[in-house]
Amino acid sequence: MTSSTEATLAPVKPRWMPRIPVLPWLVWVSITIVAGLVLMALLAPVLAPHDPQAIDLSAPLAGPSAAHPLGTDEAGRDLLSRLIWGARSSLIGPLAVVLASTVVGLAVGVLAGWAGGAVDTVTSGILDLMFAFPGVLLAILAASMFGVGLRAPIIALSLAYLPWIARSVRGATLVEKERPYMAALRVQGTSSFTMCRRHLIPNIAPILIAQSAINFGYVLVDLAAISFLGLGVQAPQADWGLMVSEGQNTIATGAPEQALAASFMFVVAVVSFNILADWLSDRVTGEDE
Amino acid sequence: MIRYVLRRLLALAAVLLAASFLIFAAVYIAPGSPESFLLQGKTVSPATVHAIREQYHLNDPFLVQYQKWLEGVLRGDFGRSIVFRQSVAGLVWSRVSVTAALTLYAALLILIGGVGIGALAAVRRGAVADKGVLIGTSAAAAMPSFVAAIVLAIVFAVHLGWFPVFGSGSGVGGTVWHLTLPAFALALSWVGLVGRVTRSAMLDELRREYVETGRSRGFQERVVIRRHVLRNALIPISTISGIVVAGLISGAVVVESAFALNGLGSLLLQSVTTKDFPVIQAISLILVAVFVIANTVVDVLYVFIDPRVRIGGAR
Amino acid sequence: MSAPLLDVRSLAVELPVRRELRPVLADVSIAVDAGEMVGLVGESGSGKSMTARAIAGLLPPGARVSGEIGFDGRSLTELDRDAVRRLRVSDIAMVFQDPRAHINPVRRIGDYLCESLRINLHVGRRDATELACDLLQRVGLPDPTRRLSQYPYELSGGMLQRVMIAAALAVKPRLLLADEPTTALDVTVQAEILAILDQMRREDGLGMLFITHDLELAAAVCDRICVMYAGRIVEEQPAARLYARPRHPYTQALMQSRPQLEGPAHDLHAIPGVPISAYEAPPGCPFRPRCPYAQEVCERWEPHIEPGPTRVACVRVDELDPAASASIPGLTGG
Repeated sequence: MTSSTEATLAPVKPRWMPRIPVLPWLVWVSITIVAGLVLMALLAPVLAPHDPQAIDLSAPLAGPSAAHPLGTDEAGRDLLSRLIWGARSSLIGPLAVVLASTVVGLAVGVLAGWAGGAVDTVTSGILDLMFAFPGVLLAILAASMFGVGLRAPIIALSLAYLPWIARSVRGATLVEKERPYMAALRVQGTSSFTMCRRHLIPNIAPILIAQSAINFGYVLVDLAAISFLGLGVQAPQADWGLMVSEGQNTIATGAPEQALAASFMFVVAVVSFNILADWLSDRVTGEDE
Repeated sequence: MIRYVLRRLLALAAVLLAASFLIFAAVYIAPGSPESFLLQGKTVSPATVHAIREQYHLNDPFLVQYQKWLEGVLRGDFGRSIVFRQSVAGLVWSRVSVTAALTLYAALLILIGGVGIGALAAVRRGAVADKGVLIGTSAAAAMPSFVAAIVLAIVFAVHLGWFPVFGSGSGVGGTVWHLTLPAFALALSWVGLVGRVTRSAMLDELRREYVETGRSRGFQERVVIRRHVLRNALIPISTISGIVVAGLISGAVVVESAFALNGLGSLLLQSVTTKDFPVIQAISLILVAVFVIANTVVDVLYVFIDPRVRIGGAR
Repeated sequence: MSAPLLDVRSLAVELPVRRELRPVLADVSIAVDAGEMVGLVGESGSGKSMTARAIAGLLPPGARVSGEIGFDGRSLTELDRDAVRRLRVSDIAMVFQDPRAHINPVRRIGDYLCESLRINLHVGRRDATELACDLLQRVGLPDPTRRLSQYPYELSGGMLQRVMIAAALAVKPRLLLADEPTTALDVTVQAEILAILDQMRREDGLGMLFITHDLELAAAVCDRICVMYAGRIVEEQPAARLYARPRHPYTQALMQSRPQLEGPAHDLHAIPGVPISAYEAPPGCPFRPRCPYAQEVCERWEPHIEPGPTRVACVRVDELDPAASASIPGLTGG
């Protein structure tokens, strides 16, 4: 991986969704979907017709019916309810990762870029080390050390995505630091801390926001993959990634509904979030790719 | 230029060393004492406990342990699997070919497919082919490996029956046939990304003045495209190579699980379930090493693709 | 009298812009003989670069071309794109304005120079390298062997322009189209480049179309000058005569707007308005809105210019400068 010191001009992590020319209607559709998903997550107890974990072995893999609009899974649990409840874990995890990696990444990046010298070299070296671990791999390693569940993967992914934020922030800090107004502030005797807090960070915020928004899409996929592998959200909880994995068993026997339904929800979520991320990124940085 | 390569190699060595240290120290970072962690509460004979202590040199000071472990690794000795009671290296070796074949197959698809359709779209901008590629790549990019695995399995394996659902097959032909769906599932989202990046990179290049120079010298269009457009477009394309390689490695684990392939990825997952930490350490180290080496190779090649980087910082 | 090397007659070009065809060139006629340097002078939008591209067959797809482009007796307008392309290999060469933008920055100079020789003309590597070295020396670049392995970023703009000229000459063309070859360069380097071009003309019998916005520069090096405005030729005369006595009001205005080194200081004389492209031209004479001599007749006049070595496209030229008209035989106008 390109060392941080040599990669000041490296591009931000590329958009997951190759940039669709963002038409207003598409953005509106995405906003609606995202809002819908968020509501779904928040209001799951109210929206879901059944308890997502209520097993009913008398009616496994039932087709759509009045009671179960999307049918049931192998254990007779209502698919629709599970999908609705699945929004919670599927969205909260990425949110936690993005928040953590953004906050810590910002701090590290500003520190490295602002202080420069030995601090920068050491920090960049540590970041280079962190870059060496692909997110999912680190999450698997963490799960093996600290046990399955969402907690270890979330921390691992935060660590895996942190260096991307830190590198962008560091680059932006290096550029911003050299601007004339900074020199003026320095002459006035403003403390470094104040300069960072009141001037640097607001000015590099656009890049930070853009990168974080784009990361959300990547993390969404990574966490779902980890749950798919059985290392994240555990049964009997409802989670889209986990549901796809559970639904795998029944594909060969001609009942792909669970896997497809969960996949569909997931893809819709990813696409919508990424369209929004691209739009936000364009708005905030004022750039066109 | 040589100095740049040497510096990259040095950085590579440093990162590998640090990563190996982290992976080694994981035994200590994990909750509980190293022994109890490694044994995970299994009831084992005193001989096994003794073997564990020996393997990890738990009686020695920490850094000596690391040194001995590292020496073993460099010799190809990753210790013994707690679950299988055989050499980890042997276990890994028997699985490497599947993962390697899968990843290379997918990488080939990404390179040829992704760059190919991106180039096609750029050259036929605005035409039907271009619009088709735009839609196709957007759809593809939204399908990460586990989703792609499911969809491909449902359509091509269950419904159409063209490909097998599980297993890695034997012999060259059998392997290719078995690995086709997994490779496509693995490659799909990256083909989307690479296709789009290629397309926009080539569209950028087509506007450049030196392309006009090429045409003014009487070269056929395809010669100009090859020698100047595609060649220069490699620069922006290679900048996403790191992401793609990371995605291939992570995705390989997912795809191997989905299609029940007996590669390194599925062994890794299995080991997490059975808490066979020596195997986890070995595979993690291998995958990280592959990743870092691949990135370094790209970094070094980058200097050949874009000689201008030699002006800044490299000398 | 043998046919001129390049014989453009009543060339008109329309380009597709957002689903409609816009005229960019109208009634352009130029002739260039072997060993002759003809200047094509005009401001931005006048169509001078477009003329060169039309001759070389480098117009974008969808362009509509009418009129005649004769090269060495053959009609280029009747040939298909591939045939014209083959002419570009070694008969017609072009040199462009910004050498740094026109040379691929990630390939070596040697590659750039030998590319055409090796791929189009199947010259072997050693021969091509030798030829390249000779050419570099001819254009005044010392230490050519080292240059060949360098990258464009290692050379200055002036050196790169020489390299571009060397590359153009490598294929031994008969016609050289030079589109503002010195505009991006310092004045001193300019003079050297022009000297090289002049030498080529004399030694190799190269016919050259020298495109520039600098009338004075053209007058210094060219045999004849054509002045373009709004996609049309408005005046053509032998260079010395044009310089001494410009006849078209536009040419006169161009001459007058040059800052003078001698004489008392005075305000710069600028032509009111902005130069226009062909598709923006009003009915009648395209220069009328900016012409100090414009009258009603100018608006009704259908702009045209007879082909010939000395010509002016102005309906009032005879009354504005009768003495000059009378002394030049064969002059037609209006």
